[in-house]
Amino acid sequence: MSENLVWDVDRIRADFPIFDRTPHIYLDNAATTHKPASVIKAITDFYEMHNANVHRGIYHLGSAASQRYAEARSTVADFIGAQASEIIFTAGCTDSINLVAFGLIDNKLSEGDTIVCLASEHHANLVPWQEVARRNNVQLKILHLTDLLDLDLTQAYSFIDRNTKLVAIAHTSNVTGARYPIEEVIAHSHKMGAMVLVDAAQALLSESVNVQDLGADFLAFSGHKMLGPTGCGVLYGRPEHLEQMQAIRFGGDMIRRVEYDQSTFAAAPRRFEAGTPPIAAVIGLAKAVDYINRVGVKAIADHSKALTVAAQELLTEEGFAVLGRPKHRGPILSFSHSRIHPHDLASILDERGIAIRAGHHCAQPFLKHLGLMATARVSFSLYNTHAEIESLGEGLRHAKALLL
Amino acid sequence: MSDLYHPLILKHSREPLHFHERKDAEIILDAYNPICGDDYKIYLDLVDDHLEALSFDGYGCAVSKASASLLAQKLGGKSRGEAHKQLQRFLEMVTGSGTMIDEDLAVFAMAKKYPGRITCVTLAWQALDEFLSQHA
Ligand SMILES: Cc1ncc(COP(=O)(O)O)c(C=O)c1O
Repeated sequence: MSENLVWDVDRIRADFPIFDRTPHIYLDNAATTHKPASVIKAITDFYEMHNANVHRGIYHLGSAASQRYAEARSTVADFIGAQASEIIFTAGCTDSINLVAFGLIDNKLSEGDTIVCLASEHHANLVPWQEVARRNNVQLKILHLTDLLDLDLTQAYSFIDRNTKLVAIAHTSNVTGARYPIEEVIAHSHKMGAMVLVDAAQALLSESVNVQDLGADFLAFSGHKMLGPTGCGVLYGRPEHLEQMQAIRFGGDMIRRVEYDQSTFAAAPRRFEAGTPPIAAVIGLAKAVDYINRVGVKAIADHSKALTVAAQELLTEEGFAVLGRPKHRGPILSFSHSRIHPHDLASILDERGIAIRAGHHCAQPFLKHLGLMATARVSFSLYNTHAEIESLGEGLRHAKALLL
Repeated sequence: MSDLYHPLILKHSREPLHFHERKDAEIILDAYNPICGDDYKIYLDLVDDHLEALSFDGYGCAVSKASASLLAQKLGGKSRGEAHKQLQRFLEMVTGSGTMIDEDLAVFAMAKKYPGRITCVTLAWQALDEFLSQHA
């Protein structure tokens, strides 16, 4: 779609076969997005026509598979402004964060060091740091948010100090949708000599992300939240960090020379990709990036933003409390009602074919800190429509009539 | 009309029976679901081997609250053996193939169609079942 065409959501929806097969209103895009036909086809094509392992075969299929895998790496790297050698294919965002935690930070900590996490972090960007801190007997410091559930930079500046080794922070919260001022956090952290890992799981469809501009030391994300398949994600790391980072998984493909008593290891990114990688998933992810580039990140972000604004108005009108009022927000809204439990709401909407999320959104301590056991959450993507938000409104009114 | 939100369930969720705290109860049981955060306490005394003054309080969804309310209503005053039998029949109905003679409790058979909500239906029942099994 060219940029000067008006947004044609029907054309977009036609690219997603699941809407034909299983009609429904899908408002849980923060959990995972649906996949366009081109991505699904790339995966089946791989198995039907090109299947072979990578880095092995002398035969044609094998070298073609290796080439496709390498091309996919370039496509994904380009998408975030990185070099192909700076990105590692992992099993997903969680896996990417664990690699930094145990391949690098675990070896770098000494007495008195601290790790800083934001209060709202997904368990994936909290529990690995807890574990690393525990093993090294250092403190994991939690940076709490303002009453609006945004990050207060003044507070962050005094919190992140010369003892801080690493700051682990989400680009966009999967709970509130807050888009945090990570650029400022990164600049300050670097002044203090700390590294910054950005959890970009919720970022890549709501703005274009460029690792050079951002200056992050590490950027982690999952393919399945950006129209790609499950089973593969990415870790971007600055080359000087990747050089220092040690493998945490050992075996084939990550080696240079192996003897019975010792081995030497390949350079990054190969050193971190032991064993047969998820080849088809990586090729699918590259296809997802092609698709996103064709539609345009900005167009996707603008559309999702408009839906988010409309949904926020609707929720407020219907008497639901939207969680947080951050300065900038991605296409995610959590909300609650004093007398309606989120699980009841999710079940009632489900009976009307509307999929929303209810629960703690993998941020148990954050919700507990806010005095909540669970919230309901809606999150939008390129194929959602304003008509779907109207249906959501009808569903909310129905739930209120039933439960109140 | 929704299957899951049967009028009886809605009634008990809006106005649960025996819904009050009793700190001096002889037995206080936790019915907590770590996955969704539903968290109730069940209070009872064992008098002559009967479940007396059965009540509950706490926080949770309409379904878990209604099912706890019905538990208190149906099992309060029953002998331990009888209560345990009813409990197990209820759990069988919800999770397997059993049926329920009690018309009110039979309403929860629909839970089978909502695998994600079965734990809401069984939460209080499982807590009491665990206690009665341990103290048979
Ligand atoms: C902010 C954030 N970080 C990390 C993750 C973990 O992603 P994955 O489960 O794909 O590893 C998620 C997924 O829900 C997320 O929303």
